[in-house]
Amino acid sequence: MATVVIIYLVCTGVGTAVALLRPPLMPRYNLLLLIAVVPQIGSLLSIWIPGMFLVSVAAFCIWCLWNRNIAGVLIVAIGVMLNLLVMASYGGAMPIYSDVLAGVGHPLPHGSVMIGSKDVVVRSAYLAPLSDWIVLLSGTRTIIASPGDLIAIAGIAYWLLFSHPTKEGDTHDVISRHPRIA
Amino acid sequence: MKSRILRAIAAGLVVGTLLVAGTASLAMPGGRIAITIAGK
Repeated sequence: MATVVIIYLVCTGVGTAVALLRPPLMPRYNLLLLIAVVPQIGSLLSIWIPGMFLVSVAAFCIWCLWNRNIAGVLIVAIGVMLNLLVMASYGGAMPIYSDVLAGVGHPLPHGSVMIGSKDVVVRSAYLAPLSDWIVLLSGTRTIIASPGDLIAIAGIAYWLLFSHPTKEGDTHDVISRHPRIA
Repeated sequence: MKSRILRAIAAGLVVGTLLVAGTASLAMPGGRIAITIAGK
């Protein structure tokens, strides 16, 4: 859990710094994101309530739909949906191969649920290529990602770097309200 | 300037929230980790 908190704080800090230099177009209806994140935090804390995964998926889908015109949001949506697709097969947990864990020095039995993560250890997975198998960091801190994670991160980076509020809409608005222009 | 800072903080929070809500990366410190739940 500590690693997740560190990642959250670092990413929030980096996001704030980038947004300060180049303000991105802000998505709307961010309350939906909060609704989507609560069940995910629950699963990180090993709290499993029936239906919480569905709430998360529904809130996230609606948020993406309403913000689909913002650059990067569709990329984030694709990445997250890939994750949610494979997680749906495991009741809201992300499968991770026991072989991958053994490879990074954490041999665990099949069926173990990882504390402080959304992962469940499996011997073989449905939709195996979409599960967690990409080792990003190994050692004192271990980070293993799925292809969906990387796509979602790319989408977030794209949103931060390439979506900027344009003045066009405002300009047209101002022109059309000018009394001498019909 | 103040609103720009507030917007930047809001954007940062969106980034963090999106990561927690949307990604499923296993992130763990070395050492302790697992519990076993039957049927999982």
